[in-house]
Amino acid sequence: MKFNQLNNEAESDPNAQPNLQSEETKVIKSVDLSLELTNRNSFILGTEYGLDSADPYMPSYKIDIPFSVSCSTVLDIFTKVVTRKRFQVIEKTTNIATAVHKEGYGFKDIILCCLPAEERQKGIMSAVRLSISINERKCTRTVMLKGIYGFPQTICPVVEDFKVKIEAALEQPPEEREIYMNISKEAEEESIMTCKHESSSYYQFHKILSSESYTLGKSISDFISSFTSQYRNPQESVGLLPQPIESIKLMVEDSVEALFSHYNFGRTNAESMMHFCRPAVEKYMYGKLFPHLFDIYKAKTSLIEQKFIEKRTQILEFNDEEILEKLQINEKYRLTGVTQPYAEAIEALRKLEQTCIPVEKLNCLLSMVAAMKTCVLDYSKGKDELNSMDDELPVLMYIAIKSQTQFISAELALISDYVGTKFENEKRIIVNLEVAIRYIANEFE
Amino acid sequence: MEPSQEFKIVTLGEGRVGKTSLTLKAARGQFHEDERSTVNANFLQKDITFQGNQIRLHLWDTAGQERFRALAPNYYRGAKGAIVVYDITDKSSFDRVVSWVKELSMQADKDICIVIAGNKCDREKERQISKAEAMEYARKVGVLHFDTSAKTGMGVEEIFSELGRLVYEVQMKKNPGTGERGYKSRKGKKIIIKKEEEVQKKKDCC
Repeated sequence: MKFNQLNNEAESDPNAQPNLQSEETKVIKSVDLSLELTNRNSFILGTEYGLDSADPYMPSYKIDIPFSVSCSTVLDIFTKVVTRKRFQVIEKTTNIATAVHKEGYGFKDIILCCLPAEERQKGIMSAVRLSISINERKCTRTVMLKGIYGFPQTICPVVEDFKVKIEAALEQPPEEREIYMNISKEAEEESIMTCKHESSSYYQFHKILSSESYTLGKSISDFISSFTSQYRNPQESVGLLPQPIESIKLMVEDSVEALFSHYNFGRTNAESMMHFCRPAVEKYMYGKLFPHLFDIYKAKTSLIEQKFIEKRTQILEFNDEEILEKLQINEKYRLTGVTQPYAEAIEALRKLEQTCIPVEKLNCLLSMVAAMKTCVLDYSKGKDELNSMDDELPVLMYIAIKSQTQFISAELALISDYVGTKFENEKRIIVNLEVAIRYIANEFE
Repeated sequence: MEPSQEFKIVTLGEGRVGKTSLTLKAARGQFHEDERSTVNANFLQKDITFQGNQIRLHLWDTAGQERFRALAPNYYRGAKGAIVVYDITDKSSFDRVVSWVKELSMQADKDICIVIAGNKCDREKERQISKAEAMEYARKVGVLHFDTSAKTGMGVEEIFSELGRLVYEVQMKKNPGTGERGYKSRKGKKIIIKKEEEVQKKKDCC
């Protein structure tokens, strides 16, 4: 925590309050004003060219605060302070606020009425402006409160009170202050309201991941750019497999860890949101990179894909019954009399193409196997089960053929690399389907 | 108890010799005698304990029909153990054992552990392969032989326990340092939900 300056030109102003004179003072040369001021207020306050054009001898206060203290907290403190000092907030955005104080009318003001309009306004008003900006280098918020107009003796108490209040807010214990290191509280606060729903959580994460103002968002953006450039030629990239997907997995891992270490501080509402952290990061990453990644797998499996499609086209000229017979499926599992055998499983496999997230693809495969087995159970009224690989493999072939998934080998190769050495059980389904396709492509006559 | 080691085990053999039944029995027969298998029939695994170590065997069933023979390498790739099954009531299935053992020796991982299971021992009267002949062959090729019955459960526990022990010993000899999760575990990182205090402590340290 660092107090930068309490700029109080009271030293040069005999009207300034004496207690501020003792504070560490320094003239702030430049102020980063991130938002445009409204024309009306700027004109009234004479700050249409920003705070730099404001009176340089006005008291001001600048402090760097952590991201854990949100903009709304600072704005709340500002509002309370100025209201107490009988200022009126005339402008308030997410990171800027202006308050004015109207002096009581006196004899002097009557004389001032003869002055031009701008001068007249200056004569009776004091104004302060709060601006909050982000210091990316220091990873802090920079809060600047500056008197922009009017009487320093009116503005000084506001500045001083604000300083005391913000200091008190920073000294609050963490549980009250709700520390969040690199993530803005705005995003978190919104998540509190909405993280009950998966889609809202995804949205919150998406906001963080896509924001280049965060270190994480920036590094992801850089990664996506370098990935698309490095693997721009699918044919040449085939030899590098599984490096491309491994690099994505690594990036996902790092991002999840970053989000956990910077975002999750044991709060119940954050915990519920964090359940969706990995899926959300994967959804974001693969959503951006899938077309490039999939092109590499398509190039890798083009030969077997072509063979499979040729055979599939030939096989599909027959009706279902004939196909089941040609594949030598055990009669028990041909589901004779059913209009379209294994329809649910076929439909589940088709969904493989509808998602670009590997884990969702994996779920499609699991659903497909579950549907395949339940079809048998339903047909036999619970009497028969599809257990043996001798029985299952031909049924898988049938489903693979009937689903007419466009790049099924590429899909499986991608999922297989995604699974890697994990998900031992799920990997069996991938191997079984791969084997089924290889059999149709190379062995089936 | 979390397994310290996990190994892929593949069952091979001619069609209808009882590979699936054997793995189903091994994986759940002991505790769920009458339970019907579920959708997870493909996700069979067996946990055994050896010298205080919990070992998990991932059991991969394969299609044994001759037409799928060329596809077998897809299944035994990466396997640390193999059970070659034959039906004691079917002489031809034993003949196939010879070719499976030969193929595994040549094409599978060089340190793969192989055991032979003479299945359907509950039908002793129909036996076509004498036990002596089978044992002699096993001794010749340097593998263990077990009489099993998926129906009665005879020898099922023994064959998987013995194979697990063999695989464990071979792998320990090969990689003496891998005490914890030497093979393909999920390696799932446990995400620890940090509490405010811990975070504060960390911050204080800095």
